[in-house]
Amino acid sequence: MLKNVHRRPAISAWLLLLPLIAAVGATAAWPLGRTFVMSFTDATLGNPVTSFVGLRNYFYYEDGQAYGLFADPEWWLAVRNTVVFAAVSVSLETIFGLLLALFLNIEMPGRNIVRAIVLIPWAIPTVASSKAWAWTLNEQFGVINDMLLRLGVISSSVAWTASSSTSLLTVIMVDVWKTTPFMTILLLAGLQSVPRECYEASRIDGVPPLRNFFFVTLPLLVPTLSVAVMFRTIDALGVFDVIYILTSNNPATISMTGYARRMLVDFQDLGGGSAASVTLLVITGTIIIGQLMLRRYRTERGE
Amino acid sequence: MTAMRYKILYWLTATAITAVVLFPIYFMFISSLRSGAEQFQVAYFPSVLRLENYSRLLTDKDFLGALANSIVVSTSVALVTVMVSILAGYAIARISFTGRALVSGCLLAISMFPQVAALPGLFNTIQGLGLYNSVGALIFSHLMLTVPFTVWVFAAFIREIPVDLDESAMMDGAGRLRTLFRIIVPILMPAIATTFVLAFIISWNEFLYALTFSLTPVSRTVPVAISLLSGTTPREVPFGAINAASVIITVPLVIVAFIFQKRLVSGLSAGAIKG
Amino acid sequence: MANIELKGLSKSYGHTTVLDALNLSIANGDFVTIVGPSGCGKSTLLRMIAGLDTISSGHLFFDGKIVNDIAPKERGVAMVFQSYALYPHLSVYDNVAFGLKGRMPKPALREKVLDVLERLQLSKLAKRLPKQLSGGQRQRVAIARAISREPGVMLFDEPLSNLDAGLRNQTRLEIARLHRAVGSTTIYVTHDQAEAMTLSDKIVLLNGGRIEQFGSPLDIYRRPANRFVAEFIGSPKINMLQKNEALLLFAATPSASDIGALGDVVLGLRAHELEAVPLDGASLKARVSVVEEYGDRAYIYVETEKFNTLLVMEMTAMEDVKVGDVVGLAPRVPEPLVFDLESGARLEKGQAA
Repeated sequence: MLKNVHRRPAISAWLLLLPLIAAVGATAAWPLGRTFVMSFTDATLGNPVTSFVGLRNYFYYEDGQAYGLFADPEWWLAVRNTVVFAAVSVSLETIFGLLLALFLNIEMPGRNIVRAIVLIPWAIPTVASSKAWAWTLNEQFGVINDMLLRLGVISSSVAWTASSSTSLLTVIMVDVWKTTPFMTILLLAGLQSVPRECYEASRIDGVPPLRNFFFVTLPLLVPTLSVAVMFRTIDALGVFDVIYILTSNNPATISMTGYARRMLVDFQDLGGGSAASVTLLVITGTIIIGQLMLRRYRTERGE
Repeated sequence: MTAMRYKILYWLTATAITAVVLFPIYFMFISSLRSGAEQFQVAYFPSVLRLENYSRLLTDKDFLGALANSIVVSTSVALVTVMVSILAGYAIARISFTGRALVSGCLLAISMFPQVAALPGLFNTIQGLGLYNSVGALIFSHLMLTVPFTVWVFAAFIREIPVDLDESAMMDGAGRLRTLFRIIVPILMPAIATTFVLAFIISWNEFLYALTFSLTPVSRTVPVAISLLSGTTPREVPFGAINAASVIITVPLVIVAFIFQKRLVSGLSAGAIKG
Repeated sequence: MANIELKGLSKSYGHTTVLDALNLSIANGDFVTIVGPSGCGKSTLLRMIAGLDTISSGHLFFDGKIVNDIAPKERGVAMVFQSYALYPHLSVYDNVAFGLKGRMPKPALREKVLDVLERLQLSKLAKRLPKQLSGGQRQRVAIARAISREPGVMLFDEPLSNLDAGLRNQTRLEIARLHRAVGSTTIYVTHDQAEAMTLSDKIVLLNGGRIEQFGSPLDIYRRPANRFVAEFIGSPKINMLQKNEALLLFAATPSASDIGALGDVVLGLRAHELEAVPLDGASLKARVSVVEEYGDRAYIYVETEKFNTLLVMEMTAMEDVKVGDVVGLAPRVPEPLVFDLESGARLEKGQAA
């Protein structure tokens, strides 16, 4: 008799979850599983009949020659590009995001307008903003070159997105422009959850503002900051659209996602593309788990 | 510092931020108003006002098709997402059952993995379902991006409603569904609107899947259509058209960002921080 | 209307037992208050009766029928929540009507809702939303919603704790009046013993998941089952004396020898059972340490070297006492309450300790 009461809520819970399970199962879990399985097969886009090839998509030796994903210098280039991209852009976003959040946290009539404006780069399609940046950065007709030439900063037009010495930096800059708002939003929410009394108490104690920031605000913001940095890092490691729109599949900037997609679409290599995807997933997963463990360690120490 | 100087400093900073934010958008807009040879000149101010790019785009069958595809895909994705999120978010926030931690853990994990990780498998699945090169493929794949995240957001919103209300409704004789649709849903209307807009924006802006799963104009969305506008030499790139098309898909979102600013912010942070 | 019976009713979460095999029988139409210190399980008990929490073991009967597995809506119960739990998006009218929908035809429903609103003087507020009401008005809407279904059992979960003192007294009166008019069996949870004493036909005193005593307010006040009950009920808190202390106090009375004959006990005397007497001839003298003046009466706390604790006694406003004064102490009653030192149980006269 007792079981009845206990089971009833469980049944209604699973019924309510049914659409979710169907949606996530079909669009996420199953494809993810397929990707994993296919990374061990010789599947191609045109050929659904596949055979198991073990780790050959990842790495193998034949006649003293290494093959597979891990033997492909272009893959390692993509890894390097992505890691540099993620590290630099997340660092810059964090700094700018924090400054912007602090600024937007100031009580001022009309600040909601500024907040909405700051949201724009995040809200609009990456394709549109990347194309807009591509236009302003254009070697011949872009305003950026024109301005810098007039100011005498550069002596001749720079092919920002095409030259291999500037393209990665350019892509990072555009990404910082686009994703700083997201960081700002999260940090602003974090700032607003810092109890007002904390500030008031330190104001009554006569603590100077800068000290206040480093000893009151920042420590209270650390949990939000670490979550935000993790979110953005994961996102940045999967970057595709900014880079693809600005520089296409240029080896100087191609990302891991771009590499995997190129294998899949241009080379029709489902197995190889899957192997690259799985590798990226493993890298990302490691970062998430590492971060979660760090967080647990901190909570256990009571920080 | 006097209050006046403080105010001036504040608004100077705000103006500088606005300038950086609007920089590319401003030049995109100016360029969209120029056509022919004017496109290939550096311009700082809208010296000419030609609507040719717009009129050509808005009569172009492929572009209109892409616009329609974008609207159909984003609206469908947002609708399905909201429905799924309401039901699942309620279950996760309110009913204690074995496996609840597992479900929310899985959702979190899925909402964090890189998009490309599912790409080969999705490609395979979509081909298997016969959806390749159709708007169906895009709706299908975009749900993977929106649902786990919005369910999470939604559960966070529901947890903010006192449980007393559910229990009170239960005492009043309402079942789970009546409680959900008569009490929770009306209270959560703002959150539902937020979830809808979030899902819509994610789908509207999505590029990787939209590019990969479409082959012909039949299934292209506007971002994909824009990315394909190009020329073999710099002088052939239709900058005016590209920028006009960008303006067309950007403007609705800027308006949405202004209307929903507060709600979007709370939605995004609910998903991220409370998780 | 229903009578309620608990037989061996228990609630546990894992290894923690919140309620331990409670037995209780509540008569039809009674107003029963469950009172006890925080964490004693009183809200859990109420929620189990409501059907919001499951029963771990034992049985719950409504009118002789086991209702353990019956959903709240089928139990014929209504509840007023501590937070009121008004539906924020519905008007006062719709809040009351929500639970009636589907139970009766529309015209009857309308009449019913208007009638209930009228009874609680809410007619003018029918179209307002909860956020446009004051705390007291919200409270009345919550009560209106609960009585609208004419429930057999009305449950109140600390309904007055969010109101300010003045409103609390007024609402307390209103609840008492309503109970008389409606007649539903009522179970009322509170931590405030004044509410328990003034409202109830019977009080359940709960402590650590067990019932310490179940009885009428006067019964509980005059004949507390044990030391805990005596100390929990009554304000100010009852004076507890060691045997040697009581002997000093009662030295001049006939019960001195009875007290001397007791074993290991503690003795209880309420504030009004002590009085100040002229110094000459008083068997016990004490210094006034604190005076709590209420206007019509005052509580004075006195200390003496011979006692471990302060004693409190009630004085009329006529008697003029200041901090630092020395007064004589004497009992007003022939004998104190006697509790076994070890078990805390109260001993009747003649019962050996």
